[in-house]
Amino acid sequence: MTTIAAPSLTQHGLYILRENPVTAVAFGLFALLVFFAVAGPWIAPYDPLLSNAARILEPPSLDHWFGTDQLGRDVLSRVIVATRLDLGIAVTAVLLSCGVGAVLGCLAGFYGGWWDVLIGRLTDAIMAFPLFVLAMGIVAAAGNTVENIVYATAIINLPFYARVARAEANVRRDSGFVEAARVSGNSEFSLIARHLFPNLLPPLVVQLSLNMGWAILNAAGLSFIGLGVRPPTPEWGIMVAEGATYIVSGEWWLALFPGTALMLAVFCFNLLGDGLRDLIDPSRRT
Amino acid sequence: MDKLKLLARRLLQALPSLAAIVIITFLLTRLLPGDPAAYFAGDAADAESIAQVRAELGLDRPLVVQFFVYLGDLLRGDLGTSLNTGRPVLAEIANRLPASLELTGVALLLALGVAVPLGVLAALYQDRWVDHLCRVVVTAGVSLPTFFTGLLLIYIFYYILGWAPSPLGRLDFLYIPPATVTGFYTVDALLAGDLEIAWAAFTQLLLPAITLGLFVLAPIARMTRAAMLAALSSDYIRTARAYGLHRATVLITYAFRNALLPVLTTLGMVFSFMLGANVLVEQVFAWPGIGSFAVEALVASDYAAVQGFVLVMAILFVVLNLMIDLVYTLIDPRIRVEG
Amino acid sequence: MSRVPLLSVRDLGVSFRTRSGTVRALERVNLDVARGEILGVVGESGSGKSVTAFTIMGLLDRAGQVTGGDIHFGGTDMLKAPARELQELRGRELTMIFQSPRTALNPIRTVGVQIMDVLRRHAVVTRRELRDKAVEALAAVRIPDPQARFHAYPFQLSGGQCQRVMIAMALACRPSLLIADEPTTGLDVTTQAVIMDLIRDLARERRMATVLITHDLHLAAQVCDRIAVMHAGHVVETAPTAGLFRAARHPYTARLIAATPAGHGTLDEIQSIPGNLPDLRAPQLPACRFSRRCERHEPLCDAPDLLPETVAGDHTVSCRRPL
Repeated sequence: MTTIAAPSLTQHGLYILRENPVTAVAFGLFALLVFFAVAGPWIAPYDPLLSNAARILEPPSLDHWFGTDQLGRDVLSRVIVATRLDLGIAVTAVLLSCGVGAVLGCLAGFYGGWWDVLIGRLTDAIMAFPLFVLAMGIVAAAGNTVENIVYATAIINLPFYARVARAEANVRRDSGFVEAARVSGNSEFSLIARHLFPNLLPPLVVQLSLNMGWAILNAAGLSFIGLGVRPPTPEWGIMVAEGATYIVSGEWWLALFPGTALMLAVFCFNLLGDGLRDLIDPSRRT
Repeated sequence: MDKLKLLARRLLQALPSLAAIVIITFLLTRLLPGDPAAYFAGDAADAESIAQVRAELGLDRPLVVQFFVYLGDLLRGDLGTSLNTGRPVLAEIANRLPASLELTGVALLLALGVAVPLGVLAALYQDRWVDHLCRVVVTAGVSLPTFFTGLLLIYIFYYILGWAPSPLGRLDFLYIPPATVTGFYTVDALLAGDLEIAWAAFTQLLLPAITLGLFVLAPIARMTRAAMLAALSSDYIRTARAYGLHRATVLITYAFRNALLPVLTTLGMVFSFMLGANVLVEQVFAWPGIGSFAVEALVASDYAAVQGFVLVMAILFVVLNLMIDLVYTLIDPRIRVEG
Repeated sequence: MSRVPLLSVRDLGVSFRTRSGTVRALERVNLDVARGEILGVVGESGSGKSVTAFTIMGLLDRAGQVTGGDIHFGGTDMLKAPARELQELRGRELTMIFQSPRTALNPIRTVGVQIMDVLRRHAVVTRRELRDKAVEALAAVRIPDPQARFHAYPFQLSGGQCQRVMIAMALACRPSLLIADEPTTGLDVTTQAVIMDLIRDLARERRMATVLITHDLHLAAQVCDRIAVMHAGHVVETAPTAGLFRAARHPYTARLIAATPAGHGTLDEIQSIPGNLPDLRAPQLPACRFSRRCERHEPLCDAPDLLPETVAGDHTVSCRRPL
């Protein structure tokens, strides 16, 4: 009598990639983005901040694949270097959001009572606002810096993680192994750490990847309206904003390339999120 | 009488959200790094005017007292004074609101008009080209930055094709805005019988409305498709078919009406996105609504104006959610009867 | 004895295309029911009872296809008739009631309006008459205060009341054939009895041909005139009720009877049937699908083309070694 071994995570992962060429493409794109984020400054053909009055507003050519902007700067270099900032802001914000949200959610779900009420009120309060508008308000109040963009984005994403964590903690609160651990004399904190958190990771990771695309859009939106990042720092949002004034007169390359990069990054993370969700918990597909 | 009671209960349920909004906007105006008075006095203020502002706004009193003063001001409609224009913030916002509402309203109608049929057809003709189109629209839709889509549309339809008018606001400067009845140029022009201006206003409205609509197309289409699929595979559809009901009856009266309920719930989230995307679209198209008002205020560090904007948008959001709630209550008998 | 069947299913075969292979759900199924007669279709879960019902009604899932045989209802060839004609017949001449009646009703429509939907579709009546007839239909299923219940939503009714409403919908146009798919499963015992009595009484009153699908042999024994026993997509034995219980000829039927609590035996006397239903996706299924679980199995049983044989009057068996 033979038993069929359950496929390991890697085997399952490779299966998903093979079955879903789209997810594989997303992974490739993700790798590319990470590469640009890490190695950007070194592989960019020109200095992204170097202006050149002689060669302003040049359309794409062999010299400048993405053309030059209104100060003669190479658009390609700026787009590549901007990857670090855009991804950096989004990743930091989302990780912060996830970390704090997960802790709050766990407290609410595990202990219930006042914790639940308080944290529930907090998430409800955040969700009572249109989220982008709230982010604007927070940045305006806290000061127009990149750090505050990160904090604002983290705050508006908090409810999503808190909810996921609370739901999971609620389910596991009364399940057998927690009782058993409690009886065997483990401290409450080690209970949470050792039993709750590993079970929380899969749905949190799924939420994280699904959320990342939106976080990038949010951060770019805030910088498009002039919050956070200031010129001459290369960042996709403000590059599109700067390019906006030129698109009506036909100089499309200033806005198109950073905008497309933005779109591809968001697209990539959305696909990854879908792929991860299929890998970890296919029952949640819509 | 029962319906009134239900409405009253729903209104009461919105109160905690309103309370949260008031408290948070209050905190945002007081817990500022540095001296709040300096913020409200503006960049160009000197020490004297800052002190004056501090006295005026009572910023030296205890926080709790300040809160009740703030609340009192709100109830009187006093949202402070705009640094830019010197006029009351509420008046400025009220002036600009119709433009935003007109834009958002048309965008929503466009989005619903495309997304709902698309979702329904995708559910009916699963795995055919409609379904694939729907899937592409949904995947692309959630990835597109609104401001980028707007710019692309301007480039293609204005610059290259010349179909769209110049993206410089609600009405070309050649025209005089119609007499204000609703504040919506298209409606007011029609009411005044001026078809030329109505058309001009409408064409100016199209591109920004399409941009905003595109942004929310994806979640609506996705939910419609999912809801329709769920409804179609329900037991009561099988029953309807078993009794030989016409296909149209089964699809529309039985399946679609049931599918509407989850779609309605999705609209809440859609409004949250729309009110945010509004700001970006107004910026791209130089649309004189409250979104661009807020951006102007941000640039000028007009602090009272920004916070007034956040408050009004949030209240608008609560009102919209309340309306969704009420419609849902009226449609779903399970909630209507049990409250 | 000549009995002209109203519904006649001959040699019916149905397969489903699934991701893990083709499921041969039904093979060579033969059934018939005459006016005024109640036929029980009995078997374990997965024996193909519901599939047969759905095929007769023309409600087969997209993945299912009829691989052979025919179904005649009245004068109509149900498998060859155009979809429109079938749609006309459904609800008017042949109907079905389902398990879990609450989910089978539209949750956001009043029960009265749902009955009216059926009436409007098939009967030529004025709007005022529609309403009256709907209330009449509710009264016919013995719902107390039908005028008030007309405006009720399914969630406001009990399981038993929902089933009555469904029966009212099904019988509103006075069909000549009713298929009842596990109508009382999921209801409490008292309600079960009441609903079964209702179905039987209405069937007799209106001289309807009725097919009662159930896994409960005991229930079938109380209500049905004839019983067809199904196993793994085959009809293994068909007989008048008394005859079936007195002298079951198929080993499966005998074990089924022995496995059913009859109210007078003790729990010790109930014997379970060994083994499981065969996997209907397997490429090579034996001619007799019960053979692997049968204690009377012999190589002779694997001979192909196992056909039903008449052993007495109206009693047929599909077995190479009947009891």
